[in-house]
Amino acid sequence: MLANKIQRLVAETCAGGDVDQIELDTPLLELNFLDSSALFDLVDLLNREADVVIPLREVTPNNFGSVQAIIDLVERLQSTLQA
Amino acid sequence: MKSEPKPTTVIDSLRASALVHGDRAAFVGRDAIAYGAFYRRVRHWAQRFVRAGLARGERVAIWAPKSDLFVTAIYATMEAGAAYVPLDGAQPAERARKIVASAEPAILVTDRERFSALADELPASLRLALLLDGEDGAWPLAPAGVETDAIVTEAPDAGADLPEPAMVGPDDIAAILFTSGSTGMPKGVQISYKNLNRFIGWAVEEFELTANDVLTNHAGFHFDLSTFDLFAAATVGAAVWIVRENEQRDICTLADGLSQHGVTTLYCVPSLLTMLAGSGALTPEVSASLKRVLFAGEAFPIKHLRTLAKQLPPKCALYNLYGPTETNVCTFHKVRPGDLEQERPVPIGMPLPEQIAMVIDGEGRPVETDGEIGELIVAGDCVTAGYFNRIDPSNHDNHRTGRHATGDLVTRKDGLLYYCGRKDRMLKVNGNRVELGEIEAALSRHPAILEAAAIGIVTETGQTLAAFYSVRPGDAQPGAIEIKRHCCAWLPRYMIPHLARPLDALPKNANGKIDYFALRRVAEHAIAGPGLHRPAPAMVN
Repeated sequence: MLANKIQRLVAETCAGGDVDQIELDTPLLELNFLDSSALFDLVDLLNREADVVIPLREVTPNNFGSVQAIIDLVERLQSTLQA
Repeated sequence: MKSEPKPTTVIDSLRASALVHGDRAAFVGRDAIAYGAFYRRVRHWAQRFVRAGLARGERVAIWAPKSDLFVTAIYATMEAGAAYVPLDGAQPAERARKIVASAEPAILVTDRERFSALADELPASLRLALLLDGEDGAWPLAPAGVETDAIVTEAPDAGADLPEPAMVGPDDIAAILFTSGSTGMPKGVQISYKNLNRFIGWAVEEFELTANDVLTNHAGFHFDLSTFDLFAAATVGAAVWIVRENEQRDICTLADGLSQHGVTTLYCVPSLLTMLAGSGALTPEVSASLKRVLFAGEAFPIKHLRTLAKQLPPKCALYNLYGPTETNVCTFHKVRPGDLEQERPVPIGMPLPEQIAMVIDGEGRPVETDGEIGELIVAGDCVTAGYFNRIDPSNHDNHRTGRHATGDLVTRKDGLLYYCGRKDRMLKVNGNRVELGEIEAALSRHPAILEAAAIGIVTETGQTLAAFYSVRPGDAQPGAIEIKRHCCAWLPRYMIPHLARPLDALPKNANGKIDYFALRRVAEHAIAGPGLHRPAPAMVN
């Protein structure tokens, strides 16, 4: 499932692989799970692993504020791609 | 190229530019204002400061989001002969409170929300709080003896009656910049006009800046990089684009701004340049106007520097500038094509004119041999007069004699200095100076934490902050999210540990002290997964 996969990728990137640490609504930027230099690495990882191309204009704090926000972004981009 | 005799102080530079370049832009974008009007506003604010009794040598603390108003407060403070104390607008109130208490300001420039967060514990030195967000709305309560007023943001007319500017000399303190302190208490580095003039005077000549240049102010005003952006621009009458906090890591906005404002001069930390170059946003159109890109604050991984260099116009110069806040920039290196072919970071180079860089070994003897590593000691008029209201055992005597022991390990090769790492527990995360001791002090404030330790782990993409903690017997074990939320109240965001892990007990050495080497091994096991925060054993710090 996409949501689980994204949650796992985020946990690998931001929490040393500990999936239990990160919930869907955990504020990733506010609590410094994800800092600005890790942000683009996560974008690369998602591009490779989640069948999506995240354009630069979508790399915003709102779209990466939580796992849920990232899932919403990826789903939105995937549906635009299919349409 | 020899220039005209330099003005003595950076505030004199602004005064001169207001006369010579009165109609030229001091700031561009949403802060747009010309030098003449800007300086009238500065004098108007200075008049208000002086009416509150601000005297030469006193301090004005400024805690606000970045804008031209913040810069107006900076210059108005200097115009009145006092020292400005800039605070990171984004840091938690607890940390701002410590800094304001330690700086003992006579005046505080802030907004209502921030003032209310400090109002319970204002220092006895404070006489006036000036609020940047106008007259409307509920007025905050202030303790007895503190006047509050709204600041007038419009520049007065050209004919307005304004007081004579205060005269300051090279040894007067222009600014106090607070940096992370190992005991948990940030320390205030005093920057004199002499210190500023050494760096700014050199920079204006070396980079051949003119009134036609447009500088980006990317760094916060609490960060020493901003002194170049503001004061080098004012020295030559160039324009400044002030990047807001929410734009600092927003690649699209930065790229748009570079082309829209025709930026010629960009000075920032390597991690930002890595992001810019790696994102693909630095297209030939975006970078076309750039004449010089300057970086400082941390080592620039050579792979990423190469990527950046390829995206810049052929005539754009690249400079590595080095120096802790205590010396501001004290060494520099203009990147040569051959440097990019090496498999190591570019050198930190050679000292600025008339400054001395010494390398000493553990016994304090000079290191004479190329390739041998020692601590870098800097001497000259770039060196701070010392920390404000604080005696720092490692540098107190040094500062009195115009020297600073940087704590940075360096080596020399062919007359150039190369950075090799730190001798203590200070590190740089995305260019921000972080004392691991300050993180540990914040962790220890958590009621359930018995002991805590923080380490930095070098990774392929930068530096990961990892915290380990043990819990008091009988207390429930707080999870990583709770630990991070706790840190949020005490530390700026960039100091919140990326990872937090509970341990039954922290590893100790024979003397009963925390064994950081053992902890590092624990960290390597504790941090699992192929994620980006894994340690990169192949990388040398």
